[in-house]
Amino acid sequence: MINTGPILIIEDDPDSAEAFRLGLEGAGYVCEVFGSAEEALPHLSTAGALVLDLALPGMDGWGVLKEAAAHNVPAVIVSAFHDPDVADQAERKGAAGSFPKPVNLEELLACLSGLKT
Amino acid sequence: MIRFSTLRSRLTLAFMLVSLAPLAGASIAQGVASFQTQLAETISIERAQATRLSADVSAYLTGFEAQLATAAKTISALDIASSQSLLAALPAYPDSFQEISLLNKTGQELVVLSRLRIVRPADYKVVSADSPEYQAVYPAFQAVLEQNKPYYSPVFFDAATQEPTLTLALPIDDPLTGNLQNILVAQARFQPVWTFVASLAVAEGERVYITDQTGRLVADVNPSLVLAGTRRDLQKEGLSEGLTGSQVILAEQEILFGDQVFVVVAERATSTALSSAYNSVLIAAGAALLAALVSTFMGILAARSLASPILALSQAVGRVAEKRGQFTADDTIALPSLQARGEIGSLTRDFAQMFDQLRLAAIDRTQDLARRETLAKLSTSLITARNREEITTGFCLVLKESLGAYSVVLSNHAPDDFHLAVAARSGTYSLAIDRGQPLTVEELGMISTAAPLLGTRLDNLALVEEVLRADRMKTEFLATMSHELRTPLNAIINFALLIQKGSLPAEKVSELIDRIRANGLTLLNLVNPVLDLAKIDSGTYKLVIKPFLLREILEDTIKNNASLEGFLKKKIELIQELSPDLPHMVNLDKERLSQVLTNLLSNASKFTKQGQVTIRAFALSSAYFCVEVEDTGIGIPPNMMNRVFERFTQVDQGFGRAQGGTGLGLTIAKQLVERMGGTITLKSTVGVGSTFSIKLPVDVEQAASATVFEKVELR
Repeated sequence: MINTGPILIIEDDPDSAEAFRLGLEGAGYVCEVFGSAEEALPHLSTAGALVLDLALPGMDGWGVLKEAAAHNVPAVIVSAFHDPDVADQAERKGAAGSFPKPVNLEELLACLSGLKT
Repeated sequence: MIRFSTLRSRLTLAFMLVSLAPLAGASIAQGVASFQTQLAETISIERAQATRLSADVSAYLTGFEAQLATAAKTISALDIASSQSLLAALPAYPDSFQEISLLNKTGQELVVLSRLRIVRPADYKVVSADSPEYQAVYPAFQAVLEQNKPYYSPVFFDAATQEPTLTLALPIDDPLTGNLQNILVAQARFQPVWTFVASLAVAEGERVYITDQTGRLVADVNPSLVLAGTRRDLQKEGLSEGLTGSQVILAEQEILFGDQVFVVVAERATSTALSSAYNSVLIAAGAALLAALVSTFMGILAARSLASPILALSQAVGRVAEKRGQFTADDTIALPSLQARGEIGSLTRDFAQMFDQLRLAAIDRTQDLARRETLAKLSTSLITARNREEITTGFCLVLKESLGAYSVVLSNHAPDDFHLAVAARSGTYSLAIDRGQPLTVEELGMISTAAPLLGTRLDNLALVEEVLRADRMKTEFLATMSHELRTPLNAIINFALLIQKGSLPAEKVSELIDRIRANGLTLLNLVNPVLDLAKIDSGTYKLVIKPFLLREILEDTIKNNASLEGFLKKKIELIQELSPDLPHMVNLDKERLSQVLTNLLSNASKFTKQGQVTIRAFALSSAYFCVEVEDTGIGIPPNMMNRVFERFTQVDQGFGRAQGGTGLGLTIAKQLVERMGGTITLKSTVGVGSTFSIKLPVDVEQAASATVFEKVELR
């Protein structure tokens, strides 16, 4: 699967979003940051991949994940819910990966580079 | 004409008639030959029956040995010190056994698995000959110790279970030295054998039962005879005296079980077995009867008056026997007229009375068995449950089937240490099961959910609910806290990593350092209340009571909070109304007062979308003053009003969680206000707003001594 569009960072905590953006841009990705699902959804069809938080105002991350699957866009979950169930559920619902916060940026980048091959 | 008014005189007549029979000697000889053929045939039928039964019983007994050997293997492999591994052994605890104990050579109990009583490792004792509770275990233990071979006790009546029981004991050798190390003693239920015997299909007039070597009955269709009845004539085959003393044809088969011999007996009443043989004798006797016409005529008359009530009675007895003890409350039985005179009449009345007693006893017994069976199933399913699903499933299934209402006793040792000493109580029976470890909150939750659905009463219910609610709140709190802590940590760790990589421009680096600091402060604000509450709980939280200027502290606090993000972002107006009658100086802890107000203002800023927050302070009397924080926020529903001050509670209306925080602010505020001799109250209307009012003494030390003084005066 080759996706050439930008990576959408959907994250309501501005500091976490900034950290992801700087990390991804440092690795050469083009990123767009959105603070809510509603803002991000119109850009989904052209996205290369998603870095997706679960606890979002309005539609939550699971809703976005479903939309992403419909558009064939791979999504990587980053969540502060530290529960093995979240990882299981993410896998079942077709997430490309799942990282509990605090996220290890190196691992997140490795996961994203795996998607690009 | 003679009146044959008594049974005795009628029988005398009957014997006179029978004595005429030898007149037809030749015919009778023929009849006797036929009788002997019939006898031989019956013996062979009963022999087959006894053999067949003995094979089944022997298989059952061998099953005991096999099950015990398996249990022995599991139990002796246990790490005895760990109750966890004891639990692991439970699935290997077959339900044929009421109790299994592993003893060492001194008789000390090492492991006790029991369906009869709660035995905790702390209760383990040394078995002794004197103690009545070891009267079955001790001889078995002693026998194995002396002879170093398996021991099988005679069947005995266990007072605790009200069941025929068999003690089995096995030596367990040290795997290294091969010397005797431990002894496993088990109480096996003999009842299944007995039930099995009672369920066998038998021919009319036939009876099968099991005795021990001495002829004592250990299994029979009539449970009241078990261990009470004895076979007096120990003849092995042929015509003999039956169990009830009547004449029978029987055959027996021995089963060797360890040291014990069981004898399976199949017997058939001579009257039914030989009826056709008797018939041929009677036909032969017919000629003789013809020869004595007058006597015969009189005989027929006598027999008729004698026979019809006896026949009716015998039919009634037959019907009772057919029921095999399975009576119901409204069973009736047709009896010959109770008005019959003489012995027949009194026999009939006796029989009616006996039937009545039998019926009542049988009903009791049926209910009893059902109850006991349910309890046994309950114990098995709970005792062998390895996880919570199995506990619930077992619990539900068994209680659904149960007859009466069970009371499930959740015994608790400490406020949150409930044991599955879940005891089922029914009627006069009670059965306690202890899994040997405290219930998890999940198990407790499932049992308390399942119980009312199944019409079961839960003891300690209020306490259980309190524990469950507290736990739910704790779990939610931990989940929230974990989420709240991870978000700033994510920023801090990753910003630090990005700076470390060194590829960012200098001004970006300094921005990130600011952000790291801000997130660090967020973390601190999350951690502080938890630490505060921990200190308050542990009693190490010291107030610093000093006189200070009230108005100054109130104004400072308001000023510091006016810059709260919530007030600035949402443009909420912060109004202060400090009454001129406020006391000038107060003697309280000024830091804590400021902290309480900060908590209230912070809450108000979170839960108010628009409008204003008013902080109002005024004197109540010369000794008390009041500070109020009023908002135009979402308000608090009435059912939550009392609970907002409880720890870990957040009013979550899809609004609360998004506001973050620990949910401890109001709990801490309440504790602090109370420590300063005051009270905090709440008025709120959903959609309109909330007002928190703090009433505080002007001088906490004076207020405290005044209270003491009042109390002294009241006495």
